[in-house]
Amino acid sequence: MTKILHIENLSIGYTSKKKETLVAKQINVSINKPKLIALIGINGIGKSTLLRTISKVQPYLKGKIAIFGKNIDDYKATEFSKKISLVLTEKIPSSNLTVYEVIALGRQVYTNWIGTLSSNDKDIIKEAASIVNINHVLHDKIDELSDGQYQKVMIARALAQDTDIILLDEPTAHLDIINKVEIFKLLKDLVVNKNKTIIISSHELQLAIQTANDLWLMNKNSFIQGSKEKLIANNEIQKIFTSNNITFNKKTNQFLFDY
Amino acid sequence: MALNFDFFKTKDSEICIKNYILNKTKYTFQFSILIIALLFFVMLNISLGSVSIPFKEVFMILTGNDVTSNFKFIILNLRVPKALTAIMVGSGLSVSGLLMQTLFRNPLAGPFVLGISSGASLGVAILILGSSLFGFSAFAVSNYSTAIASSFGAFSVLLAVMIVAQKVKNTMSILIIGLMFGSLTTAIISILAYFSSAEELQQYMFWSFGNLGNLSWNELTLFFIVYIIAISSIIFIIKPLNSLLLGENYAQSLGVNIKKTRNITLFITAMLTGVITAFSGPIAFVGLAVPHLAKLVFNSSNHKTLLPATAIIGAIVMLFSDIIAQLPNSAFTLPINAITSFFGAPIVIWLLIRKSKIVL
Repeated sequence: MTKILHIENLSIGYTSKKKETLVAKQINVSINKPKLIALIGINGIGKSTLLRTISKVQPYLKGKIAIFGKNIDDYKATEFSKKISLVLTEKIPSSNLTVYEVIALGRQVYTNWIGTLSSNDKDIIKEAASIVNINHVLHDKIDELSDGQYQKVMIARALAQDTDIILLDEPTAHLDIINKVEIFKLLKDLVVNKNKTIIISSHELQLAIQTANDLWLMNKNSFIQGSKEKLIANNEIQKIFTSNNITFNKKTNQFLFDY
Repeated sequence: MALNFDFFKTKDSEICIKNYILNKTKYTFQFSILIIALLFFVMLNISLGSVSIPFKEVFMILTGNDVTSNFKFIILNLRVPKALTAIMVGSGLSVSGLLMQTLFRNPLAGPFVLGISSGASLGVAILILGSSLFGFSAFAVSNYSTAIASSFGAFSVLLAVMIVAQKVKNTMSILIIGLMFGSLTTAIISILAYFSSAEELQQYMFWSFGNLGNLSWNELTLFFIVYIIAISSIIFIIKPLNSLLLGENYAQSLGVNIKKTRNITLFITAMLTGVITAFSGPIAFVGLAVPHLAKLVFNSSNHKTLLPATAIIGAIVMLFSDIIAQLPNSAFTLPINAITSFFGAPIVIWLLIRKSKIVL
């Protein structure tokens, strides 16, 4: 069976002129079946860089990334956008776009030269909107939404793009706890019901550990991945924090903070 | 459970679909109004001027029914070319402005901001002001030589901006670089102006006022060809333009080739701004303001709606400004450049105060 995602000996970072800035190296991971993966690590450790690299927004330094058995460099841009979709932390620029139009842009890669939506496209857009439960704001302006609704729209847009893999870079950063829980639950539903493979970077450790199937832990010198049960049993979660003020309790699956 | 599809939600989505259809018909209504307004202003523009010609007469001559009229020469050789120029100048500059605003995701962008217009001005300044300085006064300063100088200037600045753009990834930096090129060319023009004669200065000043009524049918044909090439090139970028509204990262993840889109957009803008500035002088305001008028009137950011809307509103604005500039029934003609800003700026200010938000 071809692997959904296969990463081998990957080094990520930035190149400028003669200098090469290494962010992380020795990343090895494979995904064989749809699941929810939480990418966890402290600020600046390279979570976004890794997601940007997998989504071909920036080139990698060394190693190999393959999606469905094919190296990401061998994909044409339009072909690749049918495999991976994105949800980012950053808000889109202020515009008059409606929620419907934003979700419809997810269909763009499937539409003709002028972007006419077929009835099939329209069905998919409506389905995406109802999955994330934003039907009632479908014709509101994207600028007028609350942060929670906005992020759901961006998830619906990714769903409309109809990709097997969805990458989310801290999508819950600005949200309150209710919306955070809702988004994680939604993502989990997508894995179960829609067979999506979802990789989400997040600082919501508690939620991430509760909902995710697998964890990718990024430390300063290592990249550790595996099922959350295994990582919890091996005390790996503790290692992502350099601070002694935070401890992880294996029995209750909870973080403890020392004041 | 998110996948539940209960009765109320279905009803909700039905209402939404109805709203959507309503919106669509509303646009047809708005577009019909705009097209009627455009036709009205074309007729008005042709019939008004230093000599007032009745609508009926204009109509008869345009349809070829009145071959004996005294007004025939005025209409066919002066007024019609001028109206066509106004339409192309207005729509071309406005569309350029819209493209720039989307490309740079900055509502302040416009053909002037990128320095392209300044480049065109520099070309003409070197031709007119520099003639004695560089000793090529033998060249007659004609419409064609101004056009060539202006296009050359526009393309040089564009080329410079594009070369820099290849090295700079950040679009905001490109915008600032464009502004810097603009300042640079303005500085060179000032220096040239300092060293030139009063006569040359006057000639340059008159060019910089803008003029729509200067073109013969031959020049107009050339103008039209460039205009059509540039406008029809938009079909290559119509899809990427909408995804660019989501920002560069999202656009790229939708399979948009950012660099190619950027280069095509810059090229179209340079062609339009270059040829327009060449034939009718540096006309300010329209390129920046008309896209915002269109966005406010149509309350949309979708380019499939905005591009035609911007083009038509731009044409109307230009035709209207030209009518005012002609001071109907008098022998005076005011600088078109002053009129566009004089009447346009208050309208935009008023609209913004009412709507209180400016968006892409």
